[in-house]
Amino acid sequence: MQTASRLAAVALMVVLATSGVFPAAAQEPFPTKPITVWVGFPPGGATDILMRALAEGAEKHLGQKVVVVNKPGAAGAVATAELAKQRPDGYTIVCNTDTPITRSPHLREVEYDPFRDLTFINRVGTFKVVFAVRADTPHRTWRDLVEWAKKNPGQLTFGTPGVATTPSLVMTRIAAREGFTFRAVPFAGDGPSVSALLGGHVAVLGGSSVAVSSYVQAKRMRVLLVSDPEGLDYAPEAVSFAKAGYDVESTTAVVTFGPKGMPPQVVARLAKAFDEAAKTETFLGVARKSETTVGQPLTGQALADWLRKVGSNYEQLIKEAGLYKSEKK
Amino acid sequence: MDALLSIAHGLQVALQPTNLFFCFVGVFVGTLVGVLPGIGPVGTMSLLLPATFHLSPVGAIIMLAGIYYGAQYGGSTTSILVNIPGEASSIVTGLDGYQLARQGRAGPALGMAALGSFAGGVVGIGGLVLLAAPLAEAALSFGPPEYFALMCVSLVVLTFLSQGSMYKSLMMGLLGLLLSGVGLDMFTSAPRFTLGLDELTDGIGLIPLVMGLFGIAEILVNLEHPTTRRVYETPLGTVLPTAADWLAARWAIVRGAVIGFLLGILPGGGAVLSSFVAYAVEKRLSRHPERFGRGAIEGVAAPETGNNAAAQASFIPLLSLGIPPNVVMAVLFGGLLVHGITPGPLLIQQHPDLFWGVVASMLVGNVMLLALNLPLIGLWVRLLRVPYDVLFPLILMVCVVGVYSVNHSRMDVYVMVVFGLVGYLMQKLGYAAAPLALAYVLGPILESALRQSLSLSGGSFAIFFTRPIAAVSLAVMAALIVLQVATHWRRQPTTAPPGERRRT
Repeated sequence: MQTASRLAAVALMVVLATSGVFPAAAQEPFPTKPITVWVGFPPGGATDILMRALAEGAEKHLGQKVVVVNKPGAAGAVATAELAKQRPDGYTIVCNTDTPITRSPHLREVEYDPFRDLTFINRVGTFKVVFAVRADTPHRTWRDLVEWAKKNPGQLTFGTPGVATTPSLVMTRIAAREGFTFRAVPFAGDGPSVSALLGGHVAVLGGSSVAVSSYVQAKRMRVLLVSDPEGLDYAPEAVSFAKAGYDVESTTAVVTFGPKGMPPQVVARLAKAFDEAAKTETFLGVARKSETTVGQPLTGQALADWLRKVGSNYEQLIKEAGLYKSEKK
Repeated sequence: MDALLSIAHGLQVALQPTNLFFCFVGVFVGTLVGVLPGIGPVGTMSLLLPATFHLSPVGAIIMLAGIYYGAQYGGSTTSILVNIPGEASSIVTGLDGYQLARQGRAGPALGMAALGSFAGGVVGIGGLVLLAAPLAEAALSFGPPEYFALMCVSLVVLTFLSQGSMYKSLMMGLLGLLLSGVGLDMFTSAPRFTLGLDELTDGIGLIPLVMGLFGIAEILVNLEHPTTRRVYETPLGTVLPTAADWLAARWAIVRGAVIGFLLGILPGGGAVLSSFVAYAVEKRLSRHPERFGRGAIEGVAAPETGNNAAAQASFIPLLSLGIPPNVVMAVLFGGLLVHGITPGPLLIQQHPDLFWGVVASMLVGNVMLLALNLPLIGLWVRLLRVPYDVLFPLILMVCVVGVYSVNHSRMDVYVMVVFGLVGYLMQKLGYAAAPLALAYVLGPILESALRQSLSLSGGSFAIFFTRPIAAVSLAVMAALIVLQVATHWRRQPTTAPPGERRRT
């Protein structure tokens, strides 16, 4: 008899909960089930391993599994477009670089509006951009290289990890400011362009710090220029953009975001969990090894404002490089 | 001598019980994901990466590496049994392997694949031990012009694969190149033939393309002929290759191992390229090239040896220079980073335990794989006795799940279905799918190398003739074309093949 009435009560609760008459059930503290994070890049890259390390730490604070799934494609745009169609309940979010938000929309038509269709959660970290040469090249400093390039118009070969990546866009602006011309050779990521520099096929490369650090330590390469104002601990001779007199504020950041309309308390809960996870030893170790600048968290509206600023900066750079979408038609 | 001492030290590391265990887990999981079409080593390794956070770095890398080369063993199984390549590097294995299976010789074909893989693996590891550092440096001399020349040679070699009409093969090769043009233009980032879909901005996925052309198409064709079932009811024969098989395949194994090793070192080259180059070389050198494509055991031995030798050799750029030559190595790169090790030129000096331990574990792992795979052959062959009306829905389901699991993309499933229909029509009309798929793999490398070269030279084509490696490769290509045309003329004195000209 007792069991029967208990069963009836449970059944009633289920009906009420699913029909939405019983709001208390919906207000149970987030999260009540595993959270899925789509990484818009293939496994093994810096974005992927940062997110996996972060997920491990965040699980402890959320009390739920954080499942990382790779949905690579179009430098993060595939995962972003798919996310925009998901329910904004915080159980499906994306971890991407800022590329699909600040660059892709200027390069081509995309299926989402980065500032209308998304809710930004937090900034995980930023990558340092470096410009490196082979250790045996005569150019000792960035200035030497610039002077050489000015004397030999169009002779400087420059390897990039891809067209419209941060290093390639920044180089276009630096060259315009300094008054030299160069031959840009885009490769499919940092790996191939590092090979090309080591093999002497290009004279200088722009890329991420993690891609070159081991070669600098092995005295195979030298870094001449770095985006970070702090410089580089493994290459003290590298000058920062600011010191070289370039006021280009350009970085690549790793950010997390969800579909538009996520409840503020859910955003805050996730941001807090990621923030705590970013203090764990596992995450800090991965960040150090991947040469990612962390410890400057940016969340919610502040992050959206920052991305807007970076985005309009990139819009300008993309126009200067002649890559803006409308110019291609 | 140094190398021998080091490998002895490595064996001590690899034979520790925990490392032996991780090695076994790796190769076992690798064999499984290799057998399942679509589910590849990349996805599996990335899935297991967080699980290795708390292992020792040596154990973690031993296990992840085992998944990769274990998959090279497993990948040929479905290719031979049902003509669905488990991995892209097993496409060529199916050309003769599937024919052997239809003749009731699935056992020897699988046995030859396992033993060839083993031979390739051992040669690859030997090369890794003795030549890693100098070869990795030599591979750096391959810049864009050299890659372009190498791709040109490869495309000519591709035409040797053809059975039946040369023109039809050339057409399929061209179609493969055209399809590889879908996606973002690498120099302007403009979308090409993407139909406005974000999912196509990175091009058509290789895995759905291959599974459609081979897997789905094969199912459709077989549904038409209920009689083909009888083929599998013939006696299945012995499990091991016969003495005659060995005699026929011994040089194929030797040559396949060398070709696979050399191509495997090149970043971007790898297992797919070496499998079909090894096959084409055997067909070219054979006194009876007409046997190829009709169940020649050398046609199984050469690509299987080649792809496993390449799989081992592709560790060279990663471990000795820190350059990941393919996606799998990129995952391993990430795995090393997670464990606080930055892969680079100093890795061997700074972490000798890791380097030699992992290399030695590959030797152990290959022995395990042989021991694991030979007994499994009996089981796989028995799979063919399963009635088609049970087997086909199962294969179809595995294909769909497998393709979806790679990128978690519905588009990939649609692409597979579309190319399944295309592949069906191609089979009906006598067009081979292998040249299409292989040209599709080479196309993007060809295009980017050409455009990068011309960027480097400021638009001058002289760059291809003034650099020795590129010039020699192009000369080899010209010689191959002359040879092909001459053979063709001797057979048909009146007609010259105009189709060959586009390769120049």
